[in-house]
Amino acid sequence: MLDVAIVTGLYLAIYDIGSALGNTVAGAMWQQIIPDELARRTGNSTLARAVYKDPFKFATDYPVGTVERDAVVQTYLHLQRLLCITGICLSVLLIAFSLVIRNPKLGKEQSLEYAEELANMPGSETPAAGKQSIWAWLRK
Amino acid sequence: MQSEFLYTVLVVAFDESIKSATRITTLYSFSSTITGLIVGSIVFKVGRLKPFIVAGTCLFVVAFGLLINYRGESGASSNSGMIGAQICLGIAGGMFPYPAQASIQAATKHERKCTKSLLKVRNPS
Repeated sequence: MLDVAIVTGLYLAIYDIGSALGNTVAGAMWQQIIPDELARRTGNSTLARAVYKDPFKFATDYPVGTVERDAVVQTYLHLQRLLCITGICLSVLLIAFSLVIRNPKLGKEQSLEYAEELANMPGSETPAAGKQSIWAWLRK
Repeated sequence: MQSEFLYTVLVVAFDESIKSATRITTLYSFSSTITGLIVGSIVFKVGRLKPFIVAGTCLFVVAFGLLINYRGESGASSNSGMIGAQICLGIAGGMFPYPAQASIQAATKHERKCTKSLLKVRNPS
């Protein structure tokens, strides 16, 4: 039998593990793509290393409009695009998972009547899932 | 949520000032908290969680679409596009994790003996 505090702790722990995984993916992409792409676009490996080391110093040294800055801007926008494409692909998975959860009516009590008892779930004894309309999950 | 990377991209690629870059990176936690409050009071009346969770995950995709579409070229439209995407991401972040947590808690039996309360202070990132 689970307890609300344990379940909440577990949920938040998994939430943080998920954010750490996301940060890992983004960090790995940043580290793998940015240095090579900077060197390729600026054509100057010394400058590329300096930009990778301290992008903020570079941003003040080279205002928008200079050739070097434009190359770096294009590099960052390229990576931003790749990161967001990764994000959108993972979000589609999230929609799929959100569509398969149950939708019980919440009452005044803290827990549902049939909490942790799958057999007592309303609707679990009627296997008429095939006949339900597309919006059945809203009314369930 | 993606503040460390976002801040660098905003300063270097979008040519934002430190002030506006900081504001844009904190938009996510700002709008997700406000959305969480509003969604919470609506759920209290409606008594359903799944529609909000599904809408939240769909909004995530919309926000990422905005982020892909408006990613710079240092124009005024890309700046407001980025702000809109961050707010959209924040609304999604308020509509999905909090109801998911409530849904998990509702499906758990409440033990009278164990009156442990769990308080988690998450650093706003």
